[in-house]
Amino acid sequence: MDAKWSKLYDDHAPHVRAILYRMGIGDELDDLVQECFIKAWKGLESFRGESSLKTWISRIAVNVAHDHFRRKGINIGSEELDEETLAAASIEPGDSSAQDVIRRALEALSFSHREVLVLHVIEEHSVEEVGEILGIAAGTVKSRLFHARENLQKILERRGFRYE
Amino acid sequence: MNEDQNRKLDEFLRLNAPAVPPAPNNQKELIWNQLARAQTPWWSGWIPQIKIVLPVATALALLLVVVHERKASRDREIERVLASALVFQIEEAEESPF
Repeated sequence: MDAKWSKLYDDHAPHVRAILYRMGIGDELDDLVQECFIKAWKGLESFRGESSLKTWISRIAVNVAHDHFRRKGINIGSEELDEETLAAASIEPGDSSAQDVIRRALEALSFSHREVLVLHVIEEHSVEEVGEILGIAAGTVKSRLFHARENLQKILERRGFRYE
Repeated sequence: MNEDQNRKLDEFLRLNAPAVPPAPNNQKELIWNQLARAQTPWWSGWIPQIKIVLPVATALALLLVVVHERKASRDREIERVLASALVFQIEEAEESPF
């Protein structure tokens, strides 16, 4: 096995896997991780180092997730959190731990809100990096983060969950 | 939401982020094998066959050439003998007083 490949996989697989899973990929997680790394390896020669390798691979992961949701017919454009979604996010009696609550809340958020929270808050990319990954301006990232936090808080309040 | 609320919410989210299921142990090898297969040119599978087929075909072709050449050589020899015999018969006939 190529040493360069081994390093690429070892350095970035946990991060890629986490992004995909937390963005809502379930059963097809392994397949999509594989798709990401095939794309990354094939595109590695064209990587010019304008961003960090981690940001570049994260961008591939996000694009793979977008393609996956589009193939499934899931709308990833909407940013609205309607009452129905909010209610659905709040009525799972089996959710006992804070992790369950967060998972349910992230699933209820719109795709664009979920991805900024996952990338910035959980995976700890800077606002500028999230902008590069998603191909949007840093100002747009901040605006999405603002609304995403607001909606997340609404969901947590609906469940009577206090995090302070 | 103010800065402090944001910070607390972010911290809560980070600490309680959904746990990621572990990757299969052999995923790195599986992906590498797939990449290796994809990088192999379509005709490379023919190389082992060519290594066997080419010498056999060459040997057969040489054998055919040798057999053909031997047959042609024998035919030429027969023709030469027949021609000599014919010339001899003609000369005999010319020298004969009858």
